[in-house]
Amino acid sequence: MINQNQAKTQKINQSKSSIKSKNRKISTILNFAYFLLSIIVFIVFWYLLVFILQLFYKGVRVVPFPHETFKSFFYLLIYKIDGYTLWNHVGGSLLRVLIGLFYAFIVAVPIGILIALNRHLDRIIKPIIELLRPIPPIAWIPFAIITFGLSTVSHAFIIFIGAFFPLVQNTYDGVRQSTKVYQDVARSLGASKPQIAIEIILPSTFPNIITGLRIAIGVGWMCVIAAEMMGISGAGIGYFINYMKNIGHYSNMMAGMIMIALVGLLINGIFLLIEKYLLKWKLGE
Amino acid sequence: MFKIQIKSKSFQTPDNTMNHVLQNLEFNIKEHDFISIIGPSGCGKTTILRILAGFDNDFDGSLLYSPNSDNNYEKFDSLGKIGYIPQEFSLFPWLTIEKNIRFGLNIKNIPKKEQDETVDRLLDLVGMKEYRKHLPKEISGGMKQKIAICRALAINPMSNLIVMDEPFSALDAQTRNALQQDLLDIWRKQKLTIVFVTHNIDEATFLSKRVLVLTKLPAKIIKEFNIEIPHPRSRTNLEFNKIRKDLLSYLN
Repeated sequence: MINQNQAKTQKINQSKSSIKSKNRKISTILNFAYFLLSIIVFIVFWYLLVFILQLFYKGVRVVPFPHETFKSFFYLLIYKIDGYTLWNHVGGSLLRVLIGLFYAFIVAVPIGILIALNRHLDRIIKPIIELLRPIPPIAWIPFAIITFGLSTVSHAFIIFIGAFFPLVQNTYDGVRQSTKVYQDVARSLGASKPQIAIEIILPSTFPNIITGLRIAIGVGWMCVIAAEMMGISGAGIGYFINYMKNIGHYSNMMAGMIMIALVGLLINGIFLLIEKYLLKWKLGE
Repeated sequence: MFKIQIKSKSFQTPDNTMNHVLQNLEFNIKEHDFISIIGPSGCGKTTILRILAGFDNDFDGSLLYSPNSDNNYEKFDSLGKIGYIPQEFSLFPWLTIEKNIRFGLNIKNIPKKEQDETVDRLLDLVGMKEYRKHLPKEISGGMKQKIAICRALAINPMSNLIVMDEPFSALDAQTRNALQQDLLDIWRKQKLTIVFVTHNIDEATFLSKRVLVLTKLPAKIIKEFNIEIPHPRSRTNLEFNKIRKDLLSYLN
């Protein structure tokens, strides 16, 4: 009798897991179908837009068709124009973002922690931050050019400015919100102030720092493209798009824009992975 | 044996007026005691626990300890020496259950082998050995509080004293009742000394050897009940209900 029941339970469990795996397969196929549909809708909309604009401009075509853009995109990945492929341009821009971001990170995170922990520093530094924060990073470009010239330092400075404020603010908020009860428990277990800072405040602030980094990299990416478009350098994806617009090669210009979108997706993917592995404890809490 | 003497304790409010919270409050804590503190909301129950846990030294009075329980008291700083369980779920969410229990042991530089033994013993005590690699978000509220008790016990508190601030208030009635029984088992097995803050008269009557009833602000002790009903107690017992009624009448 017991064996019969066990066999029945086993059978039910097997059928349950086979239903689960079937459901997972169906959900994957559905997701892929929706993704394909969304791309098709986008491309159809693009074609329609080109046709409508053509009517509007009486037969003069301003915006290239999707197939022309993708052709240019793949061409530019392999062949050089003025000594650079699309990879070189995007790689150069990304490197600038990373340099600026690195400096912003090592300055903003400690400042965020310090002003959140020290009331006096908070009262001195926070007003300066609040005063400078509303100035858009792009407004700093002329300042960067006259101060540092048309150089990598100018780029790094603009990206630094763009990334600094979201990083400092998120770190500050993270430390401030770091639950007091965790700090109390750590004290009751014998932790000293530096131990509480390292073992409690830092890990509990980590999700905010990651959010700050995510915003900072987005702002940094915008800043580098704007700076390149304003002519700080003779290479980079922003420079490339602007140059192609100036010489009237619109499919190349659009290819550059597609590259920016793909890099954005890549950055987002990297952050999703960081969250999945490093913030496992936070997800779905 | 411990003695808490608080002549007065005040807080400064944001509009710079002084809020007088505790006044002429004194009680002893004997070895293997189970004291519950009850009183109206906001009467300073948590403040007493925070003073006892060593978080708050800004009061007129002293914390005293008699190592040989012979009335020769000396002042002592309790911070980091007694167990503390707060009201909210307080397990560090980024650490596994095992690492949460190890936290205090790491802080005190206890050798790894000794840590392993302590973690095993405590997980065994609460019957949660198979959850050691789980994250706090993966276990129930009741389990979280059991692990919080393990973490407090891991540091081997002075005289096995643990202070608990409404530890079961966030739990449903069924889980709370089960945990009250579990807590009594741990208290008996580990010879713990517990100071327990609650607003739940039933809980105080079920658990405690002594119940201290506080007044409204500035709070002082208006009545001390010694509950002599042996454990395990039945909530339907006549004497149990009489004590509960008496406690309620003092609170009202």
